[in-house]
Amino acid sequence: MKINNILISLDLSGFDHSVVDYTLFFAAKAAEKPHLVLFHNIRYDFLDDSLGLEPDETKKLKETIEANIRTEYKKKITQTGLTYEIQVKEDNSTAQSLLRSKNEKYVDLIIMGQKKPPYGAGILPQKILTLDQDRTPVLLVPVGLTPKIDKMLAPIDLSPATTKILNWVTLLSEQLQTQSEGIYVYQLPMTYFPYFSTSDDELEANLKRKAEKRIEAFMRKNAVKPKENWPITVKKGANITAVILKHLEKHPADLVILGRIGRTSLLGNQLGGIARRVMAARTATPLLIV
Amino acid sequence: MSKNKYFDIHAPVFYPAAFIILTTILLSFFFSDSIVEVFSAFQKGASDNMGWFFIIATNIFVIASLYFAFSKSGNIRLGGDDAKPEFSTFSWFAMLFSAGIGIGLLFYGVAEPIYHFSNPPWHSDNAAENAQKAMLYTFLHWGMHGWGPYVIIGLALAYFTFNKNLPLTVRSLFYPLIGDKIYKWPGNSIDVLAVVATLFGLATTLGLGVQQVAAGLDYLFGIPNTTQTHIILIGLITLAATTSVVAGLEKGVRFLSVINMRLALVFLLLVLILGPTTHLLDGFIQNVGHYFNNLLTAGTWAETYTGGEWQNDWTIFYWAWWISWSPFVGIFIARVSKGRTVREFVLGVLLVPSMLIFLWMSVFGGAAIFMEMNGIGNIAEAVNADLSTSLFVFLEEFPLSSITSFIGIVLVTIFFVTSSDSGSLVVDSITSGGKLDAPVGQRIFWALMEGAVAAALLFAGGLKALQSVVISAGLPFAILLLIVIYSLNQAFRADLDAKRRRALEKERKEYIRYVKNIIQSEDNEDQ
Repeated sequence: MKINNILISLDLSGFDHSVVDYTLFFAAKAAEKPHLVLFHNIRYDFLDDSLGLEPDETKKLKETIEANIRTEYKKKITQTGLTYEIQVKEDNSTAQSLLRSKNEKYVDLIIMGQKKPPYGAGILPQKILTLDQDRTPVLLVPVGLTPKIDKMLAPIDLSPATTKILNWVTLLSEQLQTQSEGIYVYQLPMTYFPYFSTSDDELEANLKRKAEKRIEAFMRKNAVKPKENWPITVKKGANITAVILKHLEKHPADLVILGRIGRTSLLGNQLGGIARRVMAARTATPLLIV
Repeated sequence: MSKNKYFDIHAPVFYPAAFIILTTILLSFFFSDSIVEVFSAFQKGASDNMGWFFIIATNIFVIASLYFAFSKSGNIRLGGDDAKPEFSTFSWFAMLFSAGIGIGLLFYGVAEPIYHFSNPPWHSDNAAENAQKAMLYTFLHWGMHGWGPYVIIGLALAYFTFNKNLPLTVRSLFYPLIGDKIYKWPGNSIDVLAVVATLFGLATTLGLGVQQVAAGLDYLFGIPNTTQTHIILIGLITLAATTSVVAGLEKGVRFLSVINMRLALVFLLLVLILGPTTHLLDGFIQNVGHYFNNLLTAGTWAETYTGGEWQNDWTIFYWAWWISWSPFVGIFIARVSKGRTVREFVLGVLLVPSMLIFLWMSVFGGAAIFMEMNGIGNIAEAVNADLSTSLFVFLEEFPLSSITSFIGIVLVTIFFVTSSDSGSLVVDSITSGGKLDAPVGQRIFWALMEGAVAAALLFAGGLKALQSVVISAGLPFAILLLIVIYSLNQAFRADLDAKRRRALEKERKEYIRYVKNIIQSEDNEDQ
């Protein structure tokens, strides 16, 4: 697995700098330097008469924006020794336009800012994750973050998505020289059945043991392992998202790697429930959805 | 609003409601027959002429509920984005059951399937077909179509109370229609009606429960089944309900509901294990499949070409009954559902209880039909003679019948108590102007009042009269529910749109600013 091309989605806001800085930090550490595609789609639906543009100025807008992006980021990017190109599009749909550029350029990773209200609606990442048939990994970078990846957290559910997560954990651990930790949440039947009380320690221990065995069996079958004795925290809980977020709060990580589609996806390419809920929680940690 | 340590009364609701209830009790002593006549005529008229309306309305309730669950509205959390559920999922389910239909389950669990089996409206001599259809129509009456009205009212009340800060009373449902007038006389009148309907509805259902407990005691211990026994039973049960209501929602109602749910599960397992287990489990799977396969056909069947009164007596009666109970159960469900998402709420209230009821009906009804088909007992005769003894006649055919019958009586009694205490909490809430926890004195007053109404009605013979009044309320409430669906959908949309629009507008303004800056900086460079 390699990252040859990275697409950076820009929206011309001040947050773009955070996203580019994070990408450069990320890409510069890669063994083989990836090529960057700086992408922007002009939002004509947002540009009304208040801008006061003459018709010929509108025509020139594309070049103006392209020139501006070059001015802003050329120096930064060339300093890191990475190659780049700029794509400014004038499409009706930003999501479709981005996905077209992704296909044209054989992009392996999309990086975009994750805005949260009131800074923005945060709709684009959702659309990309839902519409992209190829399931290209998407890295969501929260605004105003100092680039740093010392520790990664990977929630796993032992579904096929877990294999993908483990591939990424292995790749990033090697390239970025970071620590990583897995978390597996098992659910207790007592939520639904009254004869097990929450204080039933024996039952709980039993379930935990079973969960650990399942993880062991999965790791044995799976050729890809992050490393020997990869630490996996096994936790109980009815609400998996809440457990993951609570764990993240207590043991902060610099990157969370999530599966795009979980065990119970019945809707094909739709985004899985856990990924959707963790995204909606708008954590201050970047999310890599694979 | 008068307030002291023991009472926190919203006077324009409390006094008129208390007055109407007391007057009706007095009237029912003297004019019971006339009341029965008038309302029975109304009920019959509504069933005869408006059956089609009830049928389409219940279907709309189910479709609307599922729409709310699976559309974007499903993500809205009752009580705001950061609200946490107040009760565990099991306690929540337990309370849903105990408030609404516990007594009905015990009353009709054996009786209804066997009644349809022995008196089929579809004129077939094929016993297997009769059994299958008997279960189908029992499932229809107790399944998603029944819970639909509870979902709609409960969801609307929870949303308007916890997300829009309106009081937890029926008047809040009208906020999108009449605005601030809900705080004036139109709102007060609505709440008075809701209190009266809730209290009478409870009293009549409690009447059913007492009859069944008394029938059981007579059957088991030979205690004479007289009005005197009924009134003593009401006294004892009211005492228990009052204690539970004084203890509050957390300690009293939740505790009793959970105990009862566990006992009900034990009872279910006992009958399942002692009865023809494999046959019952086979039946459960087959009945559920048959139900979902025929949901549309059975749900829209209107007895058009066959004619007859069967549907009016059963299906339409049930629809009116569920709908007329929905304000009471809806308020209670809303009260305990803070912190759930709309999706959780709908699936929790619509599907989970339905599936548990299907299991219950498949076990009790399935075992009864099995006995009848194999000539083991003569339950059909007992059901046709007296519905309230059917459970005990049925249990007699099982080993350990004295134990199972005793559990049956305990279950009916506790369901009685939980219906009564949750009802009192609802009436407390309405008569205190929508407060979530009314003072102790008021709780005691309404719990005792309920017992008094039930006792007075049994004594005066007005139970049937009130039953027809309550069921007659189904038609206007059905219309109200349709309006609620519309206004709730508008409110959900407005909520989601406003959130999205605010964020988009901000994004749009920022984008224009960035583009302007870029153009300006390029212009400056050119110069």
